[in-house]
Amino acid sequence: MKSVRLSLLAFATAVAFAPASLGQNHPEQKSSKPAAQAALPDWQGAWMPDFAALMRAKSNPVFTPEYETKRAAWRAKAAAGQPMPNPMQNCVPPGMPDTMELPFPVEFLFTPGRVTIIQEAFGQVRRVFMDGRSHPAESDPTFNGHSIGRWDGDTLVIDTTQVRDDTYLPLRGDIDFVPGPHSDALHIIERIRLVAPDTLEDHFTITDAKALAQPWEFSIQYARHRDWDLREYVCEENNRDATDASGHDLLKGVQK
Amino acid sequence: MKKPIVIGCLSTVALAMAAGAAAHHSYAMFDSTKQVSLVGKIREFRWTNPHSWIQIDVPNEQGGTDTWSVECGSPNDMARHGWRASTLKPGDQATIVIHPLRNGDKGGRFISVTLADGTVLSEPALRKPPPTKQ
Repeated sequence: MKSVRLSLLAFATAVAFAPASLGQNHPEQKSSKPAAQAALPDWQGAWMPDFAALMRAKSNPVFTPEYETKRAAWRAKAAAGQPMPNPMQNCVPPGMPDTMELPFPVEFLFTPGRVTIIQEAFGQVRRVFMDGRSHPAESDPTFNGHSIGRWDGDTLVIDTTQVRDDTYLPLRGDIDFVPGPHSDALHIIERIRLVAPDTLEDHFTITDAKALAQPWEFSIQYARHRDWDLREYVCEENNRDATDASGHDLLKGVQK
Repeated sequence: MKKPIVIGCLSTVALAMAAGAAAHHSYAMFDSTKQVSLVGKIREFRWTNPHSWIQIDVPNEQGGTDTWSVECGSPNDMARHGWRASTLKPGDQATIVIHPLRNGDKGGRFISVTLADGTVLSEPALRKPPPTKQ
């Protein structure tokens, strides 16, 4: 017990006496980091998706007949005034790949054996295991799936599977938020690299043997903001737009 | 000024916004073909996620006031465009332009506010410049 306490004390002391400049004015992080870490590209800062470019691209997936029928039925319901239940409206995150294209910044943390991607919206964390492990044999689906990665030169390659099949694929430009369906076979490959000093590109290749008739490819570009810090985002704080089970807006607190 | 005035039609900025992504919900509940101008006093400014909200008391034709609920963006986005929790205070005289709710309830989506000193603050999500003094 004593040694545990001493370790904790040592840690607390180290934190207490960390350079005062940490976290202030976004100083350049001088490298006391290991050589392998030092060789990684500089992705510091907050990265904001370029929506104008993404919407202009209008890249939407091509579904298999079975899943196209499902999508078309959702679209028809929306057109008839029955809204699609939108999980985000009830503070449930959208899941991958939508996690990477919300109108909020992301940041990347490089630590040995791991890349951590933080999405400001809904306070989400993607853990990308860089230690050579495989996807677990037993599937345990989550919103953002299970991600393993590797560096291909200065390109981060992430392989994601085991995304919950009750999340949706983001479709571009639909005012009613009608999304696309996918199955438990969703497989996402991302290749992320700097294409300019302050522009990061995430190129997606998405396959789904059950839902997609062909691989769905698109790129998201992000602009770097070195002077931004990611902020807290607690969606449950004051969500007046929650919906009932059928997707109708409740608009709490609005005077009739 | 006893009644909110409909001052315009079909805002192109709103259409651009509707076509873009949103993290929380679609724009469908608001009528982006209409703009309503609310002249009154700020009752409350809630600097909260997923949206900031303005409650504004607007005189009505019966001699009382209606409280309108105005949905803004996330404080995360607003802060990056110069807004602060203290930007609007209870009692401030203000004119707020909104896209009204389609269902006729007293609420809408924020477009801009003009304060008593002439300061105009706009909706950050519409990618206008940061707030400036006029």
